[in-house]
Amino acid sequence: MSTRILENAQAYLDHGGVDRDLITRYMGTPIYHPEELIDLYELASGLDRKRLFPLIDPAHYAVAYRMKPDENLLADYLSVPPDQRVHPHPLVDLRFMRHMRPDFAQDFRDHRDFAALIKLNLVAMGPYLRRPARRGGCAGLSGLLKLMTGEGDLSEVSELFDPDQYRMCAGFVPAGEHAALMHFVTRGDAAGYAPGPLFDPVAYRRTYATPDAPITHPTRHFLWHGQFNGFKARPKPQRPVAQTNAIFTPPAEYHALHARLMAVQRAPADISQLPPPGTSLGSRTTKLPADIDLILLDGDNAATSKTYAKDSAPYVLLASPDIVLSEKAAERLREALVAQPSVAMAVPMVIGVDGTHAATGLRLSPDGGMHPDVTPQTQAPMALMGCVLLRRSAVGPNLFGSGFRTAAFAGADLSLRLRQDGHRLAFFPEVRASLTTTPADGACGLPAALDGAHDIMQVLDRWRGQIAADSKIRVFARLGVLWSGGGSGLPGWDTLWRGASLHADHQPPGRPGELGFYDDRVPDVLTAQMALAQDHGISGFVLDHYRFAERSFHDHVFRNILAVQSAPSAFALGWRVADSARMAGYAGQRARFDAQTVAGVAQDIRALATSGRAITVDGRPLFVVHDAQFLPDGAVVGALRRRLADSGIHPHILVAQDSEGDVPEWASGDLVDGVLEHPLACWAITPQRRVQGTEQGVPGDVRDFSGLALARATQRDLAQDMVRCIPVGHDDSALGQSPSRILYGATPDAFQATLDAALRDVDARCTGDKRMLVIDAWNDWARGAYLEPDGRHGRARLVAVRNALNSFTSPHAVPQADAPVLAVHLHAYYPEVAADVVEAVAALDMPVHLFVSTPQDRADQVHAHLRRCGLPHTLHVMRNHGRDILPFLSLVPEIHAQGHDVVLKLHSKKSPHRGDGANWAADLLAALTDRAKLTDALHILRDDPSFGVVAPEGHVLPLDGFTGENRNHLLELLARSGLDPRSVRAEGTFVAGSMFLARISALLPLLNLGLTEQDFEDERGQVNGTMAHAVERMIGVSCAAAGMDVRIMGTARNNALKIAQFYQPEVE
Amino acid sequence: MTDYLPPIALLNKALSHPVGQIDDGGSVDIEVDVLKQLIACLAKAYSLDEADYAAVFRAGETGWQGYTGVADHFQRVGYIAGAQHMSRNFDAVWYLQTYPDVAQQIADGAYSDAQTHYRQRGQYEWRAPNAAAVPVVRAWRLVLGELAPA
Repeated sequence: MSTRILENAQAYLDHGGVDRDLITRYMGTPIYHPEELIDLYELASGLDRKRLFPLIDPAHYAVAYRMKPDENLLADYLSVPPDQRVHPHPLVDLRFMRHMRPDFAQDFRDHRDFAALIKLNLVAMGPYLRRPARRGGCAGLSGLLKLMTGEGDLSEVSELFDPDQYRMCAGFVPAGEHAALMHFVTRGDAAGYAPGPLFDPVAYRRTYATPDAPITHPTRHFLWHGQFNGFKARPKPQRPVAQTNAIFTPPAEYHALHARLMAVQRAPADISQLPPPGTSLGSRTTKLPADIDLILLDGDNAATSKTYAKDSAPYVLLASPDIVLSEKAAERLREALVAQPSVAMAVPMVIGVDGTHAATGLRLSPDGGMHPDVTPQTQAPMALMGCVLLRRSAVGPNLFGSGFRTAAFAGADLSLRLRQDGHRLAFFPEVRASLTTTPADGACGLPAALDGAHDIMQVLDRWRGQIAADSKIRVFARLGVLWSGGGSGLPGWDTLWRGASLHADHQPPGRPGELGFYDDRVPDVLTAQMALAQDHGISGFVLDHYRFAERSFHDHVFRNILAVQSAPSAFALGWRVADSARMAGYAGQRARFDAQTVAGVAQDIRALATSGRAITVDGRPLFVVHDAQFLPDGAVVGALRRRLADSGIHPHILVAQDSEGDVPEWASGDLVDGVLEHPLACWAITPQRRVQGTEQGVPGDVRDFSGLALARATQRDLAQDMVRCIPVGHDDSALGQSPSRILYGATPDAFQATLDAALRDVDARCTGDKRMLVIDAWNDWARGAYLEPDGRHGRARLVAVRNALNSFTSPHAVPQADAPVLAVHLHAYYPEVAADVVEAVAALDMPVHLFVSTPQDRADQVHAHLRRCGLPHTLHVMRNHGRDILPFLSLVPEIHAQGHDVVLKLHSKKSPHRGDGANWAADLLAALTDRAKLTDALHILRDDPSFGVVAPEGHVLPLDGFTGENRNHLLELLARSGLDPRSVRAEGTFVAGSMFLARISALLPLLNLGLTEQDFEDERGQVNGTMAHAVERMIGVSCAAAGMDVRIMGTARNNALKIAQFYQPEVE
Repeated sequence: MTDYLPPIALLNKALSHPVGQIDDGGSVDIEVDVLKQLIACLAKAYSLDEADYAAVFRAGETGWQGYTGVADHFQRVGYIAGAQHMSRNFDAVWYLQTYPDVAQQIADGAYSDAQTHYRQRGQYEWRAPNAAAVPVVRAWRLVLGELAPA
């Protein structure tokens, strides 16, 4: 043993770097000589080694300094100066010490100085340890010793680390807070887990990482550099507008779910109860009540009018001869007219001959009128399946006046006339009529209408604006209160940190994106929320409201609503009865809702109603009562109505279902105007999902989002007064209830499919102001139910709302399956190269449409080239940002909106950093602009839905081995899309060169990430490692995630051979 | 800085070392008065910021009775009495560049400036007032730091 080692050992013995007492206990006798320390170290077990010499973590040290198994680590450590073993322990880093105290550098060269230095305890020994406090030192060796042996608490560790919260975020963390700390330091930080609620590694990395300085350990980076440079521990992402994450071509799953939902929704449950064919009204075998006259619409207007004038019963059934309507159904329609004197026309639901719900074609406008409308799919006028019950007194002596042109518009003119006279028209979907023949047979009452296309168009033109306005369905979202000030029992932001992955397959609720962890006491937050909602077609919010007796709880959002300058959104209050009572300390006492509570709630409703910001239904402010079963009886609601009536306010009161789908018995009759569906109604009858890999124990109560949607759709006998409430998602694992209820597969496209189906359901059932729907919720982050942008999908859920509304109101936006014209996206960065590309495309001699993007300064040149080529084109001038990738992602939605579902992506490639740049690009381009090859590729995409991307041979690489510098960005993208990096690494495909032919739906998983300018680095001529390079690698991954494969143009063998010509795998 | 260092024999004599030479080890009895004067000699070599000292000590208002000036007051009584003092060569820019945590604390408002930090905390943490002083501070730290109880 060299003298130097012994001298150095002596230094630590002298300065207290080793714990002599502990050694005495261990040996039974104190040690005096350094040799004893070193020998003892050799003999000691792992834990004892940590006790003997806490500065060295044996496992870490052996790996970091490549020790042989039998080498004495302590002897090795002491044989060289400390500054050659700068990282002997995961928590110790001499580089960090030197960073904090450059003036101590000299002391790292000698063990005696170093031992003296750490005894002084003036500087934290590593970034994760707490810095010296105002008085007293920091962890030092003794602190480290306590940490290592589990004797000390974590008071010497940075306050950013919270073992409990870390454990829940990271999962699979060994027991004990020290073990959690070591797990975080050795693995968790690099994996991007948050150490606790005070630090947001994802936002930190996104905000501060640059290609030149990627951040591998966000927490360490913050503690080491960031905090001294004014970096924020939880930077608020600043994203101007996310434009690109449109779900316009829904993937296969969307179609499947949507089709199933529609099929379920349209299949009548009680078709057996309908009268058999042959008993149609035309056959005159149906017996009708005596006070109803039957007039068959046989196409002869004059005859019909004559029949009407001849009869005298107070009610008139106006129907096509092939309509089947039972006596009972006719009676129910008549009862409705008797009960509601203002209604002049009652309309049943007509069911087609094949059992599907036929649209009645009737739309009632908010003021009670009816006008001709078209069903989006068929453009057939309403009178096609006419069956209406009229009140004779409302019509007068003549059925059709002189202005009546053809029988086709009987319903139209009649309804207009009724409306002009101040009558209402009502649709009763629960009353069923059926058709015995299909309309196409021409056997129904008004076939002539179909011939007069010109007349139809005239009517449509005349009523176009009205049709659009009346067919609108208002979409609202439940708005929760998040800021709760602690201890209030409201799940707020803090709950999010408890969200843990329960097992490998489970992603806890996401973290907020664009809006950040906002403070909803700030009025600007409300303004931002309203703007977002407005942009995506959500016209109002149902605000969670807490009121009990004279006390109001968490009403800051409500006060903001009343106080904010301008409110583009409308609001309604959703009174949370049980929570209010609980907050007031009356949990479980149902009877305490007294006059004071009624007065308080009434006051709030009045305040909102008089502010002009209320959601109204037929002019009455909407009010929702949640947990109504908590009220003892209807007296509270009755008192509320009376109280409000005194001030002239007649609220439209909805009672929300409980989670079983029930409402209290008293909630009927005149007390309430309707029922609000529970977002998770039918949970119990949704099949449970089996979950794989539940190492962590209880997987929770897991159901499929689509399963729930289908279960709800099967309950299609929804009463007219049921207001639909659609869940965005649900995962309450963060709330710590057992078992947690988790909805799987609540992706934006599944949500869009559900919403779209629900809109069609509302369309078929509801009229006027009742055409509304509530989404649960806008911001229930703690339960994983939110529309607000998050870090995983950006604005995709909001865009899903807009898409569903668009596809519902504008049938023409539905893309064509086979666009005869090929869409070509060309990013023209080098105009002269772009000119060649355009020529090559022109030489294809195929019908194409060029979508060209180019930076501002090159627009003129590019435009000149485009004009010369004579191809149809659209030029988009964009910022020079995000290479060819961001322009492509931004343009795809537009390309799709124009009816294309396949896009050929080209760009003016010239890679200055590659010697063979020109060749490489030429090879890619040659393959993609070869007419024969391209035609083949198009046929592949058209004929085989299993392929999503077709790329030239020689440029389809395994992803593994080509990630290199792009690894961090790629991992970030994978994390955002919820894909497992391991499987992607093993199976992923890299479509290199960024030129390919793609089915747009294969790009959907990528587009759904909602990448914006903010995600891409500024242009500095980087050759690799930018977000654009990572996205390039995501093309193949996206295709796989959409359930499709990448197809090589040519053969796999040639691909393999050519790869070697252009690419060299990186050695990692 | 000083251009005179007394021969060690004179120091030995003044300390009345019982054995003879200081480098023999052992311990020394020393008159407090002698020690004070030795310390005053050390303080003479210190680049005192006199303006700062006068401002902090506020003795200038009544004149430096019995002392030849600010420096004399500091060396003979002020230093030993624990008066606040700064070097006139304190380099605030270097100080903030060198110690990231200090810059951060000043940014956070815990200290108003580098001088305040140095005065209140830095000097006790063996931080150097400028780059040139690093070895001197280190030398003092090795002497005094090890003597201090752990």
